[in-house]
Amino acid sequence: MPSKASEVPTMIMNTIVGTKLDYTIIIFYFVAIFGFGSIFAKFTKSTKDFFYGNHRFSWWLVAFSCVASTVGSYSFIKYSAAGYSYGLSSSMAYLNDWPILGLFLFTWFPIIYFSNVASVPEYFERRFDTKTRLMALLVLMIYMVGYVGINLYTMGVALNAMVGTDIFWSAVVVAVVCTLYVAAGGQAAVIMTDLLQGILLLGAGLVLFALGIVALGGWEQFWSLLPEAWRLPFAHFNKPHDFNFVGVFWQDGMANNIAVYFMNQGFILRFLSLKSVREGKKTLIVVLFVLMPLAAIAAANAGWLGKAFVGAGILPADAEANKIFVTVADKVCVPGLFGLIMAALVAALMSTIDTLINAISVVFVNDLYRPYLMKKKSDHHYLTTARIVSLIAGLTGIILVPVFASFKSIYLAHATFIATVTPPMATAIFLGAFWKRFTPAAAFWSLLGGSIAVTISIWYPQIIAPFSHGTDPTGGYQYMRAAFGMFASVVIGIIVTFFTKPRESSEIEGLVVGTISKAKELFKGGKINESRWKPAYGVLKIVPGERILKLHRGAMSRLSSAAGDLLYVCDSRGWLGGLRSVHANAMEPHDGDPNEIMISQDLIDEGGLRPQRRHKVELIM
Amino acid sequence: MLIAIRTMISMAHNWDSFLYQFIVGGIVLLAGIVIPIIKKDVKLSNRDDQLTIAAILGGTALFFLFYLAWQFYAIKGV
Repeated sequence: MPSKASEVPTMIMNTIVGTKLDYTIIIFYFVAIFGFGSIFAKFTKSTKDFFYGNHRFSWWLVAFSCVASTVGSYSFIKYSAAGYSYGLSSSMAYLNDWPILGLFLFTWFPIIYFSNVASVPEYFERRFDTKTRLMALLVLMIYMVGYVGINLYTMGVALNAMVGTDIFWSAVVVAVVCTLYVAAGGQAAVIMTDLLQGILLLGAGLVLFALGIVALGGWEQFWSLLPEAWRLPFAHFNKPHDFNFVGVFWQDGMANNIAVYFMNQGFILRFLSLKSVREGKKTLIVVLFVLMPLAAIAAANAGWLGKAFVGAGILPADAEANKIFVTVADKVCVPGLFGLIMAALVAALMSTIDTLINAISVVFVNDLYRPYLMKKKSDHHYLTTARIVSLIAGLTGIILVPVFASFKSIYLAHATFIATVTPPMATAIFLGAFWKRFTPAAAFWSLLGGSIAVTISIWYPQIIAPFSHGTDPTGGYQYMRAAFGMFASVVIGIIVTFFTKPRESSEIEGLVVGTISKAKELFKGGKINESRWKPAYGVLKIVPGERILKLHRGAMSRLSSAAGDLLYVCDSRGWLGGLRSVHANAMEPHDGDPNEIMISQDLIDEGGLRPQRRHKVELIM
Repeated sequence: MLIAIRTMISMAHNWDSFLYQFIVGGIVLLAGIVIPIIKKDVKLSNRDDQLTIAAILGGTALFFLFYLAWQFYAIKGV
């Protein structure tokens, strides 16, 4: 296997500089993503489109975009280093999401989807009160804006270490590209570009693995070169302090997963963009059982290969863990492929950044600007504001890059802040959704008191000891802090709940477990229809009026539908993933041409439908 | 119990981690399915709910078997 290094003229900072072909591929990738993302501006006509794509997309589009967002800018470096140092158990963090499947799919997701909330703060206002909403808003904005800067900074550091580009200017290029297509196309642009980015980062990672195995002489050779401890799927239960099973289980598997799936605005918007709750179920099941295992291999395999390379004498025994991704890529990549790997690294960043930028604009407009700062303006006004906020969010991220680079204490402060507020936020959401009796006061004090308890644990880590599962106190039990924070928040929430007044059941219908049938009725605006159905097909015929959708009697029978049922009309070309689609309530059926779908112009415009095309109709409820 | 967990287990080949993942994770998973059934948000008579539960439990069972096979394959070597 030719080493790319032999064709590379120079090294910068002990790292490899790509060939012209590699750089051409990276530049082409930037241009392609920018152009592709910008196409979707024409599908963004309202804040609903901009925020969550107006409930239109298919499961496979959102599944890939979720994986692309999950794999962050530093994932390849971080998990390859863990894989090199500890083995295949570095995959644990990607494979321990399954316990939350039922909690998310059967309770939280239907609640947010059917109650038409666009953000966690909005849920907090409707479930609790304004005070709790504003507190959640403040926390989320600090978290997200800071996180844009952190991702840009870490990506700049990674690229600097690998190809020697300037940290700040790398961040600027990525931020400008992402911000412009998000501001233009909103959620549709995010999801569509993330589909490409997800395929690229999974594909490039898996190709790297395959090439590494070939370079070693085959799978059996690779496997035999790994020490036994490196081959095991799980790490040691509680040692060492900075990488052990129980720490990863509680911090990542529980606290982080609840935070990602229950409170991460980007993920919430992704799931809200789906055409139905049924699609959400398919999405998460495929993500957790199929795509995340692939992502685990893609992100960490360079570390596993690196260990085998050391065993084979291809790499020296003192190869550095933090550089193992670069080192292995250098060993196995031919010119051009290295550029593709770099593009995958950039894709991992861009797919995280675009999600955050879109989420910031949603939270700002939905939770601050529209309800408090500029009430009762037109939807067009709020859409323009959301676009401007996207630009400001990207700019702020760029400004934060040199700040994080110059003042490591600020970087650490942000990380500490997130670690402090995440367990209480996740707990408040969790208790709010699963316990009707949970009161607004309890939610507020869970957030505040839980954060205080976690802050105290930073100064006095010994209070975490009862939750330590025998882990070494070195490092202040940082991995077990999430378990302590969740426990403290739950205890505070339970105690305060029993001394304060809950909201009336009628006020929180559709917002808590046990009331999802009511939420569905509110969403549809009538009694729900959960009959088994088959799709109907036809061509569109434009009729006068507003929100008119009439199908032939036979088509309605096929759909097991009656007037008033919520239907989904989409272009029959499945590969569009629902990009051209619209929801509407069916009217009384017609007795004309069986292939005709009578539809008004406003619905055609809303869904971007093309009348000359064949369309598919599905029953939503 | 906490003391028991703290001192539990230093099982060979990290079987303790394996068991903890599937026992504690399994409890959380089942809670997420059973609570909505009890609260009637999920109806076992509904085909969509049936399929979702089957996919979740089937996927988890496959994960378990996959991990089990991986564990034995890792211990056995080549």
